[in-house]
Amino acid sequence: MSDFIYLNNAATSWPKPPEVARATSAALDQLPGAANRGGIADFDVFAALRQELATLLGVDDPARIALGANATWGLNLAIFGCGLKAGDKVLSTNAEHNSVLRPLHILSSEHGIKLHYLDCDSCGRIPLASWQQALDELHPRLAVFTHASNVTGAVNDVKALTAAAHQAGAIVLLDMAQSLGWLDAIRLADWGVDMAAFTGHKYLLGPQGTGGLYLRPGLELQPHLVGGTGIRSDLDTMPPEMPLHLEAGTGNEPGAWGLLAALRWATEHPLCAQRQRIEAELSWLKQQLTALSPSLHLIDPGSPATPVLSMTIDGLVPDDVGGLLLDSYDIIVRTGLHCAPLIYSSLGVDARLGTVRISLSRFTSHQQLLTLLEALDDVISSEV
Amino acid sequence: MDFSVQKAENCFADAENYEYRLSANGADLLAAILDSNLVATSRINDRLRRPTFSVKLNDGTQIKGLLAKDVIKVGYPPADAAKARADLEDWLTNWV
Repeated sequence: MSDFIYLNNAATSWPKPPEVARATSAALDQLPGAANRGGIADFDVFAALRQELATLLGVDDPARIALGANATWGLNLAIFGCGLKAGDKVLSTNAEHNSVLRPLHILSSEHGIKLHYLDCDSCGRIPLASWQQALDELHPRLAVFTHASNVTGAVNDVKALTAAAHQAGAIVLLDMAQSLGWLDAIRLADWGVDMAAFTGHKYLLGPQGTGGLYLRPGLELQPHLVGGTGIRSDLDTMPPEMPLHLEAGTGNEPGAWGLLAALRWATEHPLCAQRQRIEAELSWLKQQLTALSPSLHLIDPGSPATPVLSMTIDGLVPDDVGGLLLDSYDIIVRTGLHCAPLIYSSLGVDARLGTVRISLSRFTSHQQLLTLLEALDDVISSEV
Repeated sequence: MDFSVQKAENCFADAENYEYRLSANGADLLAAILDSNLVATSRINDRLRRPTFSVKLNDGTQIKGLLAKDVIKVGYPPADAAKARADLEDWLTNWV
């Protein structure tokens, strides 16, 4: 195990349960799956994974979950596939990741879709009243928002935001990249979410290159990516049934085995106790950081939140802080814009600099946070 | 002296950051470059676990690194990055 202190779990979680590497590696050593042609004796890892994910997402039909490379894959599939036409309006927020902003930019610049980005509050959370007002004014065809800000950790009220969007006639796409695996009681079906993209490599503790898109029953997408499906190769188009309709090309079988192992490990090792511990650690860390220096400014999202904490330090460039923590202390954090370039005006942060972001996982220890505090104390007292 | 160089990207499209692996450590580089007429400001921070140095050259180029390590991070001024890079790499090449 490395001596590094890894506090970049909102990008990619690490470490993983050892079962994940074992399962991924074993998959590469065994015969490949049958590419949708499995017989009665075949174990379909993708079907098993879908079943686990359906439970986690709070949806009934695993077949409505298309598996792909990551949340970006799912978001692109949804945004490009939901049939938006010139003149259609999309409501989203300035807290979104580039995996939402860039597909929407293409639709706007090349296809005449009208975009409206609602400002989040100073914690990175979507204000329900402003959301409601924007919906009433715009009546968008699509509403896209993140479950949790990857910059601040602020968690949004999905049920209320979705209900408001539906009332205005919009379909809802939820970006769950930061939430699935950390938040409990996720109930997409009960909340009425139409589409939700997720990734395997963050809080689900799976390998990179895994993720997908949930699509509610009755909603259809035009596949953004088309190709081989292993079966019905005599058709000119993608087979109409889910999930095959949205899954072109050979699936990431080793990744699916790894993610399945991660989900089963998480079932055997429930997060609830660790989540309470990490939330207590974060609370303690915020107090310590606040007391450390008046030049350090935390962006405290309040509750509910994922285990993410962004900060700025007067007189120091975030990239430089991250470099010093890494080079001098072997501490890995994330600095800069975190692929969410529009949020900074709401946070009162210079968008030419961004923030220093630390993000914990269930494996983060108190000792690691103590070392982080000592390092930040050294950096601030000697560099500011 | 020998060195290898690689672009180091960050969040900003106009960033001109590079990492160099030298055949000397940061302390040796600092001593040599302070003897040149290139340096506007320099600083050593020995209060960190692994002491660091930073140098700002007259043309705006910033050099940072650990005193005990052979990798340095160089940020060139975006307005004239190509010339600043050529100048520093010439100096490194001729540094014995």
